[in-house]
Amino acid sequence: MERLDDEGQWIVLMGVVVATGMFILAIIINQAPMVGQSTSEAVLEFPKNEIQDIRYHLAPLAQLDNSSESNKTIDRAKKDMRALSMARNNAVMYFETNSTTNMADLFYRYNRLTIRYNNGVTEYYEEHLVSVRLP
Amino acid sequence: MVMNDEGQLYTIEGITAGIIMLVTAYAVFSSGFVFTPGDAHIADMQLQQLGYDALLVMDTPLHAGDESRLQELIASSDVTPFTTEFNSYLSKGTGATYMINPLTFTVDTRTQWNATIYYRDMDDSDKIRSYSFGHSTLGDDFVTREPAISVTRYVYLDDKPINLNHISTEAYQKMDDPQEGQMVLFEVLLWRG
Amino acid sequence: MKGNWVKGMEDDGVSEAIGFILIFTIVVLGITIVTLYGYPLLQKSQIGSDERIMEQNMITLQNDLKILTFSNVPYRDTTMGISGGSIFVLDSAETAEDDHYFNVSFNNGTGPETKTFRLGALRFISSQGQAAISVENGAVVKRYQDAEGSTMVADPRWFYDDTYDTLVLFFTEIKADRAMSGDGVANIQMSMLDPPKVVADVPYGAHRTVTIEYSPDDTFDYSTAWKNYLTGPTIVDGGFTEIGNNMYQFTEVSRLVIKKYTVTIERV
Repeated sequence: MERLDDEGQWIVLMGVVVATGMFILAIIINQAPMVGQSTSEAVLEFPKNEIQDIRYHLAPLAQLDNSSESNKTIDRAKKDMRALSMARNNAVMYFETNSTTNMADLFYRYNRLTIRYNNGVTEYYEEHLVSVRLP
Repeated sequence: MVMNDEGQLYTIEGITAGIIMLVTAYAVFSSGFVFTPGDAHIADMQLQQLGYDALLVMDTPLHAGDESRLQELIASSDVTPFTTEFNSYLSKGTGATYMINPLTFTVDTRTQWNATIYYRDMDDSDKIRSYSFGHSTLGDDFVTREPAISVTRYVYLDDKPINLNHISTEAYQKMDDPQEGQMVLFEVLLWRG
Repeated sequence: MKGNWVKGMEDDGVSEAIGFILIFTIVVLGITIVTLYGYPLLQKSQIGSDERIMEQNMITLQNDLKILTFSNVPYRDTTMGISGGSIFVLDSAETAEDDHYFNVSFNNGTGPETKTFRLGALRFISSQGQAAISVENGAVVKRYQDAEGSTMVADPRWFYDDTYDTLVLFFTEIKADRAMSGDGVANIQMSMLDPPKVVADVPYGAHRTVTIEYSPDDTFDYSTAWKNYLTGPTIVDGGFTEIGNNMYQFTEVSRLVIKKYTVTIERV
């Protein structure tokens, strides 16, 4: 039999420490929740640009007055955007404008705009006042 | 012959280490993996942002209240200038350049795209129709199975686009010309060629 | 033994033979115990971890399917290693033969209407264990063949918007022109070359009733998973009401939208 060599014990000790560490890490990895979706996929799924786009186009519509011509434009946009967002972006999208609010100050009249966007993952609801410069 | 009994412990140690390594390798390689690299979607994400930004730039008017370049091009059904301009927005950059010839540098010519306009049928139902609005040099067909990404933008049109019959007879017949204007959806499919 | 290991310790009564026998016995006993109890335990945990890994792989697959369908993109590929079993592609016509489909009954504005949606599936079947994990209709569902129940690992994207009482149902049909299966490293090539169809978009104005019926395959019965999903709070607080065997009903729908995607699996 080999003569037991008791030198270099710290190497063995380090080995034990590293092995234990790896074992614990393996347990932690094993316990980690299952994801299956990467961060960038989640970013792709988030409709940031779609919502910004919708807001961009609705603000001028909300600034229109209460004439029958403007109401026609708004109605048409409502129908178009509702159908298009469902067909291509899988989202429920509604908006309402209300130009009959009697909120006004010295220089501005305020129209209320409500936007609802929901694609099953992201829900967005906005209600804000659009200012219109008084003549 | 006398048996040499030296180094037995080392032999056992060596064999054990070998077995442990083999078992580890087996355990690692026999388990299931997703081989599609996890960073594949990062490029898609960047491409999507690039596309949205390019459309936003084109849909922003020079002066508030004016018609934007995108509106103008769709309203006049000008596919060729749109192709040139959209291409130039997609390939803009400051980094390393790619030389076509000693006088022409471009940043990126690989991004391919294919644009479509979606509109609501004139019968006032919720039916959606579409017509193609240009594509990049290699963008009319998928040569291989590149993973693409789609970006969309709403465009407000005052009237029905003129010269629409040059692009699509069907769209010319089925698209409404409402007094009050209409919203169409501009969709671009982007991929790295 | 030559000399003393430790100085000053007597080794007169030490027998090499007995020492060897003792050590040898311990070693043999150790091997026996490991073979008898340890190995089955190891194998069991390997099957378990294989299934877990495959569960995660199927979620990845479902995510790629989601990008393909919801972003209107023509192609997506996923490459994955399949462990402890094989993956099968089932054409929607084949699953329809096994009475595996969804029925949606609603009022189309003029009268009652029922639409049938065939599903198709991507199914992982464990070769050693009992697990069967499927991607069907945009969801990932799992069951054990020796047990009754089933669970939904990842939900499909059905939703209800309560501001205007809109119910949106997406159906994903999987098509394959031939029977395919894969194990080892599989490259799953998916394509969606037909544009998605809005099958129904009915604005009722008032609240109407929508009934969903799930007809399960006899062998791969995921009805518990779908039941828990539909009656649970995922789509709407309070969920659908179960009105019969695999029949679920929801009454507060002012607008119903049904969209259908057709995905072709070209190669595994």
